[in-house]
Amino acid sequence: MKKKCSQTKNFIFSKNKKMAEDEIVFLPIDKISQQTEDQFLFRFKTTISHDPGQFFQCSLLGIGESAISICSHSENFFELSIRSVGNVTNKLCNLKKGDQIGLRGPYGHGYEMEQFHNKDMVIIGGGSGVAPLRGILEHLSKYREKFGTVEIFFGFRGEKDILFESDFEKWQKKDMSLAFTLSEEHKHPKAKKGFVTNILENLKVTKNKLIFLCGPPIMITNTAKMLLEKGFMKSQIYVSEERQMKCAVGRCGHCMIKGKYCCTDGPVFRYDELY
Amino acid sequence: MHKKGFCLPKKEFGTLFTALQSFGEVIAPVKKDKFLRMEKIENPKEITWEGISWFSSKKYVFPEKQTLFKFKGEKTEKWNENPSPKVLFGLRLCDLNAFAINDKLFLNQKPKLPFYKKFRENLLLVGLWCDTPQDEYCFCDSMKLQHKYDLCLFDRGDNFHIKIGSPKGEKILKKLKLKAEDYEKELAKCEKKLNTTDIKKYFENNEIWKKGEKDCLSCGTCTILCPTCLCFDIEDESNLKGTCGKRCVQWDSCMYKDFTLVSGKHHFRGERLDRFKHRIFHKLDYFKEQFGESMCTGCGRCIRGCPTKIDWVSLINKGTSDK
Ligand SMILES: Cc1cc2nc3c(=O)[nH]c(=O)nc-3n(C[C@H](O)[C@H](O)[C@H](O)COP(=O)(O)OP(=O)(O)OC[C@H]3O[C@@H](n4cnc5c(N)ncnc54)[C@H](O)[C@@H]3O)c2cc1C
Ligand code: SF4
Ligand code: SF4
Ligand code: FES
Repeated sequence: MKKKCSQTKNFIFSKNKKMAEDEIVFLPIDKISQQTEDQFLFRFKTTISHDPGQFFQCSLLGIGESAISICSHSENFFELSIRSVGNVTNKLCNLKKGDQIGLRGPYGHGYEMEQFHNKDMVIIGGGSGVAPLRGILEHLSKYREKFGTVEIFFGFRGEKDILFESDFEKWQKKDMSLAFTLSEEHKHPKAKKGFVTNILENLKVTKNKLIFLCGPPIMITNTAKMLLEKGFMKSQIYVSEERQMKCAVGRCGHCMIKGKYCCTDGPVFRYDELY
Repeated sequence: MHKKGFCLPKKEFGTLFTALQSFGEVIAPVKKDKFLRMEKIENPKEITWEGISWFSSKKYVFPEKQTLFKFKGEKTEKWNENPSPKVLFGLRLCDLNAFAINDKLFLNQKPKLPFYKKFRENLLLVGLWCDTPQDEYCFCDSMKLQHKYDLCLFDRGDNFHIKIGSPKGEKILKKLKLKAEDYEKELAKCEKKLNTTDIKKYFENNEIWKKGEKDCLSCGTCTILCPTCLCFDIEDESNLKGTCGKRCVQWDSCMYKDFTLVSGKHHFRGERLDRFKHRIFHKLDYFKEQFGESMCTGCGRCIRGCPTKIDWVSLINKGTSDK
């Protein structure tokens, strides 16, 4: 069965501008903050309707396009957290406040949060993979009473690689537990040493829990394997998959995972849809 | 499916040719340097009536490289050219079906690729029926092909029987005032068969695919020749300063390792075996799940043109018949 992707209903782009399907809209960057050595948070003062987990194709004309997840959930703005890893992202990360970025989207099938009301939420992220999960966490902060318990587990490489640390306290105040690991030697008082899987050992398995997993491919594989061994069912796990993307509309074939398109059927998949 | 048909004496073929030329330039199979190619012709005498063209005709709806838009500073200007009308003459049923398959992906879903629609609307597809397979690589009769064409010619010795498959075709043929006739002919029976019963079971069975893993060079010839392989890349070109340029769509191939590369040097189909299987499963299974029919037309080009002659059809048959 093919799931209808929610992109069409989400093509609304600010109040009066309706974003045409393949149209690139240029928006000025309203604010940039450096998050790590090579990752920056960009804010745009435009409202969009979207599900957490959806993404934009970010364009620099003459250079190319990159898929970037929306990592916020606000009525007044949206944010993208971009890590500089190659041609497009390097140039994006060198932009200044007021510079324009070309955007099309939001694309993809994200986390449809209404489906998860009353569920106990377990959020597991590794490295840059915490960006799309932050969208969920911002949603949970806003509608906290609609959900059950919330447990957050993050893993980063070193102290300097921690993302969204300034949000941690805010989330904890909203009755969400948070633990994180650093795989390198460190002196951070709150972090444990190791991989995110190390702090999952004590995670209790219950039927009402749903797990939201995002991170580098190897982290997803290892974590999912561990969760399944612990006794979670595949249908309790949601993964956000990363693939090379070009068109973002289910045509170019780059993002195919078996017979599914990561860009339109995903990037968020229930684990049993894929594996 | 029974379709209306008319009789055209072969000695009057010139009248049809003129009518086709009134639609647009005629592209037809022509033998050159041992290869059968689709080329622009001015005279019906140039047509080669046997064989299947080495390359498919996909480039007429989806050029190897195609501009999406041009830009100057932040101003973008959409590609908005009007392609010249063309008649593709002498297409075999496999290639006619390939157009219908590509339409499913690029024309019948939103968002449309704007250039595809324009090229497609400016084509008239004229088939040439196969009474016998064109060579030992054809296996079209295993692929449930349909009558999809604007016009189709059947060779009846002194006459052609011409069937009409669309209003576009009808409009052209009306000009000729031909006599209606009843004629039906089955498609050629191919010696090569593809048995796809329970094919899903064999995806995970790597034994079957060993030869593909061992002999495949990841050269991408199969994807270039295949009439329905249209995976693409999107690339920007600009002047040195980056102030003006264009964004282009370009054929790509799932047989290349970097097709699934992401940052961190991770390849999702880094293994040759996975790429080989992916192409075939997209053709036979994934596309079927999405659109209800196979993406392979049985034209045999991917085997005919493979430098190491990997015959995936026989690999599958071996698997599906060994029970
Ligand atoms: C759904 C989704 C969400 C993403 N969200 C974020 C995010 O929030 N923040 C962030 O920093 N990055 C994110 N990425 C990864 C980001 O898209 C890539 O890092 C980026 O495209 C790399 O492009 P580049 O030109 O800078 O790098 P290069 O290495 O120069 O890219 C070469 C080519 O490979 C492709 N490519 C390389 N790596 C990736 C990749 N990981 N994913 C897709 N295409 C790739 C690019 O399209 C490009 O054409 C996301 C990717 C996906 C698929
Ligand atoms: S043509 Fe043959 S060798 Fe080349 S990529 Fe295709 S299967 Fe492999
Ligand atoms: S997969 Fe091979 S036989 Fe099938 S349509 Fe493509 S080239 Fe022809
Ligand atoms: S990115 Fe082109 S098909 Fe998904």
